[in-house]
Amino acid sequence: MSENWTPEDEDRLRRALHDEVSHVMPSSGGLERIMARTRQESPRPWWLPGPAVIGVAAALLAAIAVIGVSLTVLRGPDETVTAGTADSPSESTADPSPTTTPEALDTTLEPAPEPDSPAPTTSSRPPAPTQEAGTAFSGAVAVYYLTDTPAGPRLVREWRHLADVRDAATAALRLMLEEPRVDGYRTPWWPDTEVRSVRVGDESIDVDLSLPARTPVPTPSEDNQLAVQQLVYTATAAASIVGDEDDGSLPVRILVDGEQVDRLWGVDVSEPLTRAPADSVRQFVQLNEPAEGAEVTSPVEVSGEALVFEATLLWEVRQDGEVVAEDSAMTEEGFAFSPFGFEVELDPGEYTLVVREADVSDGEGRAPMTDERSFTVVDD
Amino acid sequence: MEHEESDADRLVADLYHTHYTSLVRLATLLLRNHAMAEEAVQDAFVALHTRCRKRGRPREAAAYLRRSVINNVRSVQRRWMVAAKSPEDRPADMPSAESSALRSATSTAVVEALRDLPVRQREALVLRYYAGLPEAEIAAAMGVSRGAVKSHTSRGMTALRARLESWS
Repeated sequence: MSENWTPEDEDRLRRALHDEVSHVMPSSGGLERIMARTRQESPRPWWLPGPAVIGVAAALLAAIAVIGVSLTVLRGPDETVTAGTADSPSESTADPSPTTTPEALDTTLEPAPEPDSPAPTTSSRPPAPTQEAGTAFSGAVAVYYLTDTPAGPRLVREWRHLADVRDAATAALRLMLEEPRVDGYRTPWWPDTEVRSVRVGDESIDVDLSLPARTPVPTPSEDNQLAVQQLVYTATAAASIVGDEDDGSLPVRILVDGEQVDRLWGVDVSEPLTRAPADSVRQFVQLNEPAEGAEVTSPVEVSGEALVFEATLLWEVRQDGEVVAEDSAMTEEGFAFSPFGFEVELDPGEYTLVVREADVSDGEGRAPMTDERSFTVVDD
Repeated sequence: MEHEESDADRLVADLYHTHYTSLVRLATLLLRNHAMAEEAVQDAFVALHTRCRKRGRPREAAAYLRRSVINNVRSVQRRWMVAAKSPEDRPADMPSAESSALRSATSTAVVEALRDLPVRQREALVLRYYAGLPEAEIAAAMGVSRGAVKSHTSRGMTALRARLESWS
């Protein structure tokens, strides 16, 4: 295989690897635990630590605390409403922070001045968010926007990096009201809307907004429902970072100037709202990385999630309008929101990646949904 | 429904007996943490059960499991990225009493060197030399092209060689 590896060397490598783990014996009762989980109505999402892991996590946390980094988490709870299979990176708070108080939230927290400057690492993967009570938050949050697809407007999201904010939820919702970075994404919220506070309680996430004096009803009306879901999705994702409710299932109560309201843009918001099913509101193809405008090195790691027929996705990379690479990729499961990932070798330069559903109808059905990102490949 | 349920149960039980231990060991090589490795493998079996119940057996159930385990391992690694203050602190280098305790006397220089490789290179080498998989199956497990497997493997071998001068 490798020019300076002899077959004997390769044998030694094989033996070394086998020796390294030959003493590893699975703990007893593994099958019973698996079976018990398959019988649960909604299996414990895999990223929530089981009993076996908690002790380890505690030990590791102690180690991490020493080097001054707080705990651990990854991304939003978005995947709790999706397939729930492997590789759904998601929130896992082993050390739940106390609920953020309104007082704490009144301290204005702005996103980092250069929120999306690419990290000087080799990956554009959203860094794991971390937040402990009373500490600044640094990490990625999921911010939802709208995009217009062949099936009408749908929710899409960007992973946005926050550095040193006091309250990630408020910061995420403020980003939601601003212009997205990805071309083709948009926010239907009226520009002067403000987030007064976000309080993550035991029963609900209370988002207090201040609307401009005369709020026009956005058009088209399809946007109204989606705008509310955009807020619900963003707030539940963010709440998993600041609260100790980490599964994204808390309903969202929308307040205006501190008051309960019945309707917002004609949408009934008198009761706290939960996330609408992903397949009815989200775009079916969603890129996670690379982030828009990211600087990455080759091979470029691409990841996302998609709800596609027979798990098949098509992708292409364009440079100056020319297709320089294309292939297909598989999600882990078809017909359900499920992760996908692949790598592309690219020379340094600027590129646009487009991922699309495979059109299995031979043009009979609607046009495929797509998602795209522009990024720059730099030298190692 | 009942019938499908029991089919999923049977598939999981069969594969548990044939693959569970080796998958836990595979994941342990990648994660260097037995408890987390076992968790990642159990999650893969649960996912397989769900998939089987909903849409029947996957064509290659063992390949499905491997792919799922690799993905779960990556997610665990990503979770530890938070602890990485610099690109050099790769998550699998997580300092842990656990992992040093796991490292028995059989630990060798080659395993130490493997630990320092980038995650993808380590995956490629472990799938090839521990799991003994052919390139196409490594590609499927890693979710990358065969070309990428080749390049990860050869870079990994070169890097490993550089760290193992004493071998020559």
